[in-house]
Amino acid sequence: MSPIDRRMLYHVNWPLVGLVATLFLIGVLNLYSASGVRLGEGVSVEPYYQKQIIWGIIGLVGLVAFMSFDYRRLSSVAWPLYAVTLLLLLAVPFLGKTIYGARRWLDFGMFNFQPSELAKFAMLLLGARILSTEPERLDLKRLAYILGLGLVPTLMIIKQPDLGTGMLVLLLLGGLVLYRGIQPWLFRTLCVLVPLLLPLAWFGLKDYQKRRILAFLDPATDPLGSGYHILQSEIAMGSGRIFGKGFMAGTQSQLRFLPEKHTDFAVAVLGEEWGFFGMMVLLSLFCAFLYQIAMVARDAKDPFGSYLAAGVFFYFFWQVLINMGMVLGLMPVVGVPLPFISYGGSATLVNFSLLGLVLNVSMRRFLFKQN
Amino acid sequence: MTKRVQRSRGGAPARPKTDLGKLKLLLVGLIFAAIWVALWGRAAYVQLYLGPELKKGAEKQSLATGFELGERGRIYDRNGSILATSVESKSVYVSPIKVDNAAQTAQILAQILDVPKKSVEHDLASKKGFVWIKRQIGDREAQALEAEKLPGVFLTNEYRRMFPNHHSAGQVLGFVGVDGLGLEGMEKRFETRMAGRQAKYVVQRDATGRRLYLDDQGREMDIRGADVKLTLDTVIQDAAEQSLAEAVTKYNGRSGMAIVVKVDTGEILALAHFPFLNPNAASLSRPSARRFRAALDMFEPGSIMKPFVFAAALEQKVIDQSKIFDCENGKWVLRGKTIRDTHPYRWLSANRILRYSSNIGTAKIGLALGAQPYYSALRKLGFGERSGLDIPSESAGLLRQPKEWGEFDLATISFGQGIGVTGLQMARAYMVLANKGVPKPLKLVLDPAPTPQPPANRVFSEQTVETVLSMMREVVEEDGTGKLARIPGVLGAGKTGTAQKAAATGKGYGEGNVASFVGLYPGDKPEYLIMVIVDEPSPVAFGGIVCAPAVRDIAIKTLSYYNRLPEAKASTQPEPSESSMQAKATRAPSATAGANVPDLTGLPVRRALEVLGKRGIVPEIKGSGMVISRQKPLPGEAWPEAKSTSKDGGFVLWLQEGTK
Repeated sequence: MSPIDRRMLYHVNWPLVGLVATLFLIGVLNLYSASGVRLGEGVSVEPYYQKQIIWGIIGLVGLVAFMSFDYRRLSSVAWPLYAVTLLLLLAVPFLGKTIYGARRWLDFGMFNFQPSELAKFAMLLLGARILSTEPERLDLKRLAYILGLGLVPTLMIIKQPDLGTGMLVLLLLGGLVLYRGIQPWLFRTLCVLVPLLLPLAWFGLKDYQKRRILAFLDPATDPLGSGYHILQSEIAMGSGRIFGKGFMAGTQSQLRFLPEKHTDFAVAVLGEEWGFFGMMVLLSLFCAFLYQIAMVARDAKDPFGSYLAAGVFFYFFWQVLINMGMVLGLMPVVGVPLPFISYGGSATLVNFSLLGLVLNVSMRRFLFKQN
Repeated sequence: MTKRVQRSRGGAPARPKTDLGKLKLLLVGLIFAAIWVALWGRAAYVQLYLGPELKKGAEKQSLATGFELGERGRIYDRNGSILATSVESKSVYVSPIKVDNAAQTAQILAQILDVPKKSVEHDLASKKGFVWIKRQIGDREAQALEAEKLPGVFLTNEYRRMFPNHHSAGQVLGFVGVDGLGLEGMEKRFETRMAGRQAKYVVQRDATGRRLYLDDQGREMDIRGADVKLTLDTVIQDAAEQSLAEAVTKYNGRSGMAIVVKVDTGEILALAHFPFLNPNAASLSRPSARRFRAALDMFEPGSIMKPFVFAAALEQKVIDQSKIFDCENGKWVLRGKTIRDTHPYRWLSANRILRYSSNIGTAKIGLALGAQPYYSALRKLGFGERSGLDIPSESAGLLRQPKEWGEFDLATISFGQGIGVTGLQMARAYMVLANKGVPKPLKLVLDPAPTPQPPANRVFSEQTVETVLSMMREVVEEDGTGKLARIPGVLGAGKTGTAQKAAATGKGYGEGNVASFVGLYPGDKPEYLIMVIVDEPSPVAFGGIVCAPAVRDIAIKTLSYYNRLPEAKASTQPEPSESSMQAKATRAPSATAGANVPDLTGLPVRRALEVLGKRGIVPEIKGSGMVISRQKPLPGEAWPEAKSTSKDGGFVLWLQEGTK
């Protein structure tokens, strides 16, 4: 089976490619503005946007690479990849490199590598592989088995500490579980139990994480500390009002009131400079983007492909929801970036690669009929 | 591959699409839609509903109102020399909540700024957002502090007042407090004129509190305070201060003042007070030394009042200058109280009464004149009212109503006891005599020009004034009490004063005296009025001995500076090589003249002063006479510092009588 032939190129999901290109472009433009710092003489721009473009190109390579083989082969690497991921995650506490107080990175000389990024792939593949072969809706035993598989890497990641990525891995799996479906009685029980048990998780949180949640509930209690991010984000967004202050004119970001303005809070810069109008356009683009992925999942020719696409759907869906919710003050501050908009090297590479996978599933949807 | 697909496809429930019914699909779609609508709604809420409020919040954070204080105006002397100016200097304040490590910060601040560590720690513990640590620090301290980059410690620009001539005219100029507010003297008098205005403008600031001046709005506004130009001349001022200081120190006086007035305009050329006040460090001096005493403090003038009773009596034709009075051999009991003279005389003509300064003779003239006419003359001369110079908290002196005067009061007021005057009042009264009988307002300020006053009415006829001046010339030129004020070649007129000071107990008179001398030069057509007053000199207290030489020294320097000193008739010396220097002596020092001091010995005083004036040097003059006998530095030595008038660095000339 040749990797790619003309017929397949013909079936590439161009609307999805167009949407991603648009989002990425918006992200780069927004980064250009977000990295502007106003000094006495004017505005100087830090080169984050350049780096993001380079990462975008690398991501494009990843995207093509992930399109270039038959995705069904991935089913067989699911378990080995999961095992390798666990080993690497296990190595992090002993061999890892500490950056910003968190031990997440393995130093491979040329580059630093986060095993937690690999965990996203591993979880996606393993989830898709197991769930696509489940004959029945999940009963308690199967659910426990699958969630147990998910919890092992999740807890290891949360320990690093990296609550955002850990949650994302688990949520991705959770999405797939829901996509598969669980027994109605179990579903109802969980609907009651989970909200009851969730508060217990409080005791497992670190102090700074607790503070973030408290600050979310009442940012004014500590406006210069934990509540600072939320307040500044809302102030930046709100002061943009309907049409925003204009490109490169966001005072809150340029005067450095807005924290994490190129990463987690990049969209607040967009909200400040383009206002409600800009936010509408961005949310609509994400909506269309997610819809396209959902359609790929629906139209996939085999369950594995469908689950792969669904997993990617949830991967992006949760990130958009959490990041937007955080920036808009609907959720506590969790370090989850907004895909294509926030600056981040490995995140960009992973995003494009996963998208390659979706495109892979999408363009091979007619292939099997002819076989 | 195909097989596996087939198999999984065979397991029909694995297809989610078929698994979920259409209703469920719709439900799931609705849930996702609801989530999206929630995000949209929240964005709308934050940006549209909360927007205006949050925009204000953003502006509150990122915009600050800045203030800039304009520079305070300068004070110049009549020639444009700077007497007071402002220089930018840094001040340190802290914002305690922004300080990271209070202990370390206090340590560093205390070390760099040389302030007690305890007080800095106390300041850093303050709950306020703004605490001054030290105002107006030096450049080196500021640099050291900037290098430390301490969080929460800030430097701001302020203006520090500088008086480049140090103590020169210190009490007249006054001084400013650390907030830049004029507290005394001219600084207070012209506070509103000189104070820099405050400009208010909007600045952006970033999250670290750094201010960014993105627009210059408001900064171009002229906020500098206006200047003030005084009538003082630093050269004359220096000369007056030097001679005054010598007189006070030599006779152990408590304090002293000297005034030089240009008669034709009434402009005060010098107004000196001793002990000196250095307004650069006013807080270090005693409060009494900060007073503008010539305007603020009144004293009983004593005999220098006498010319006025003579003038009034002459004007009223009560006496003429040859009228003879019995001076009672130095002791006269009037109404049960005794009036004494220093030297006993019997019969003296009016002119001799003034020449020898007989109290008894003057009292008799006063009694002959009568209280009301004398009082009205005194009022016309300006006694009992402020000098018109608008000096803050100026005294009006003390002049009682004539109906309260008894016969003895009239007698004593005639010779200057039982009346309170200020130095400026006395100078103003003498200006009437110097100005042919017409009052001439004193001037201390050239710019802003004083409000023009209607021409004053004549007080004494020219005839009367001429007669009084001739009597006053006798005081100096004949064997009068003021002969030490004599300048060969220049006619002098003057009057001595040796007043008794009221006892500290408040009753009667004590041991202390106020010595004074007023000189008019030239004595026939006065151009300069020079007055020196010394408080409580000892062991000698006579104005003719304590003050007259100082007046003479100041007069010599003033006349030579204005090129009004005639060459000594005795001078037959050949002109020195610099004989072509006919030009008026100026202060401008020039490096073009010879590098070394020329030989000045044997030259007339005037020539010598001209030569030195070219270099901006005002020499100290010792001894009396018209010709230079000795000089320091010696001929051929290097020039001393031009500005220096201090004892060690200055130029000294010793005089001797002309060789006839």
